[in-house]
Amino acid sequence: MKILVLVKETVDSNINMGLDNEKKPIPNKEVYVINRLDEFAIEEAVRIKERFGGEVVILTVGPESAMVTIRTALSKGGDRAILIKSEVDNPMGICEALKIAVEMEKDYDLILGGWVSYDLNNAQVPTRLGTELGIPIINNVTKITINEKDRLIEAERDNEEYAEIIETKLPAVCTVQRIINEPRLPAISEIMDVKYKEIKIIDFKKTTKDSKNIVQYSRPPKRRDNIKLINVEAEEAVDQLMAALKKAKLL
Amino acid sequence: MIRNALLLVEVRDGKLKRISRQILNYFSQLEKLKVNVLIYRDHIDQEMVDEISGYNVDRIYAAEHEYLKEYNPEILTDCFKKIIDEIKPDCIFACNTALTRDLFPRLAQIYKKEMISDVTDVEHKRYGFRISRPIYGGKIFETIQVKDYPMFITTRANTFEEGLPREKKDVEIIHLDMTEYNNKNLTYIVKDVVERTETKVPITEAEVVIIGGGGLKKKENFQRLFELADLLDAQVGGTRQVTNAKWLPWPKMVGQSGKRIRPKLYLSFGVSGAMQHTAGMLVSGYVVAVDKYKDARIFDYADFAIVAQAMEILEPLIKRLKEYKKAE
Repeated sequence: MKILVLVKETVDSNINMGLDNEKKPIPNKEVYVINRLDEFAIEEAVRIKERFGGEVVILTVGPESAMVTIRTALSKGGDRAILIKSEVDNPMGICEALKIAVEMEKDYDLILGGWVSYDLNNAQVPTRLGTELGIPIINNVTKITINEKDRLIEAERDNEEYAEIIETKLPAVCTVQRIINEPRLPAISEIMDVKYKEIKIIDFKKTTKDSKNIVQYSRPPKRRDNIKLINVEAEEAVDQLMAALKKAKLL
Repeated sequence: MIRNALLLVEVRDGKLKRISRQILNYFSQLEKLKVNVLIYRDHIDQEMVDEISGYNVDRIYAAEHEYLKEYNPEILTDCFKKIIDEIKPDCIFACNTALTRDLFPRLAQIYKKEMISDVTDVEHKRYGFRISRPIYGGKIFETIQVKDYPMFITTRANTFEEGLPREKKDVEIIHLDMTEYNNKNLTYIVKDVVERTETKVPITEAEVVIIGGGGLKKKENFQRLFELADLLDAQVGGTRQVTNAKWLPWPKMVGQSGKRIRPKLYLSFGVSGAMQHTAGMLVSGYVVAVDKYKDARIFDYADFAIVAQAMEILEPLIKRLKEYKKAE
C-alpha cells in the first residue's frame, strides 16, 4: 500500500491572533505546528503500512519554512516527503498544487488527511483533490478497514448523531477525525532518522485566480452582558441568574 | 447582483430538519430573489413539498430514489449538476452539516468556484450578501462580499430564526428523472447507519445547550446536567476531557475538533474554556458559565459568570427552575 498523507502547517492553536497594519490576521508569536488532525492521518497511514507493507509519503504545500513541519511529519512515520513550495492559501490553489505532486506518485492506493484544518476551518482541500482526481472520497472518518485483495475500503463516517458505514474502491481519499486512533510519540531514533529521509521540493505557480472577496478581518463581537459573580452565596447567585435569563427572554 | 439562489434542505425521520426551516424562513423574506430548493430522499411526501411551498419559494426540485434513503454524494452531486447547469444560480446555500461539508467542496471543485463554510452572519445587501465567519478558532472573523460570483455557502445552525411556513402559493415542482440509477452500480455505497446517541436532536441544532467539563469531576454528576436539560429543553454536551473519559459519547463533544454550536442559550459547568473548546461555542447567543477558577478563560466569553463549584450552583438552579415551571 502506498499512502499519501496531506499535511498542513498551521499556526499553533494556543497562540493568540491579532491584526497587522493592513488589518490582516497575524499570530502574536510565530509558532507553527502540524495541523493537529493531520497527525491522526499520519498515524493511521503508519498503521495501515504496518499491516500491509508499503510506504507513507507526506505531501505539504507551503513556504520553504514548512520544512520544520515536514520533518516532524517524517519523525511520526512518513518515509519520505514532497514540499510543493508555494504561498498559495486558498483551497482551490492548494488542491491545484497537490495535484502536481500526486501525479508524480501515480501508483498510490490511498490519500489520507485530517478532515479540517484548525486555522481556516475550510475542510475543502482533500475533497477538492479527490474530485479533481476522479476518485471516491469519504470524509469525517473514525474507523478504516482495508480489504487489500478486492481493493476495497470500508470506513465509518461521522454524520452528526449517527455513523454511516461506507464502502468504496481504492484508490480513495479519506479524511480522519481524532477518535480514529491515538498517535504515538516518536522515539529518539525515529527523530534522528529524519535526516536520512528524502524531501523533494517542487516549485508551484498557481493558475486559478482568487475570487473570494474578503473585505474585512475583525475581532470577535463583544458579549451582550458582562456580569461576574465572585464570592456570592449559591442561592443568591442563582436568583440573579434567573433574573438575568428572564430579562434576556430566555425563560 | 444575486438574483437566483439554490438551497438544499435536509430531512430526518420524515420531517424537514429545523435548520432547513431556518434557512427557508430567511430566504422567504428576501426581495428580488428567485429561490429554488432541492430536496432529496427515498420517499418525498406531498406534505413536505407543501411545507416548503409555504416559504415563498419559486421552484422545488425533488430527487427521489431508493438509493437516497441515506446521503449519497455520488447521486446528489449529479442532481446538483443538472440543476446548476439548467438554472445557473448565483449562490448555493445550505446549512453547515456533515453532509454539506462533504457535498459542497465536490461541487465547488467541479465548477472551480469558491466555497465558504460555517458562516455565522449573513446580511442581504443590494449587491448580494455580506457574510462573515470565525477563523483561527474564533480569534478573528473574516467578512466576505458575495456579489456576482457564484459561491457555495454553508451557514451554521441557528444563524437564522426559525419561522413557520405561511400561506402556500403555487410553486413549480420538478421531479428529477432518477431512472438512470435504477440498475446503476454505485462506487460509494452506504452499507449501514448506526445511531450513536439516544437523542434525536443533534447538539449542533439545539436552541439550548448545557456543557459539562472536567470540573464536574465524575460521570454521576452529569445526571444533574440531564435534569437541568429536561427543565430547559436542552441538549447536553461536553469538552474533550469529558468525552475522552467517556462520561459522554464522542459525538457530544463541542470544540475545535468536535461540534461547533450556536444555541440561543449556552450554559457551562466546570468548563475552564480552553481555546479548543471556545472555538466551538463562541458565537452562541447568551452564555452562562460556572467555574471555580476566577480567571477561567471561559469567563472572557460569558455574559453571565459565576465563580463557584459547579455542583454548588446546579442544585439550587434545578430547584429554582422546578419552582418556576410549576408557577407558570
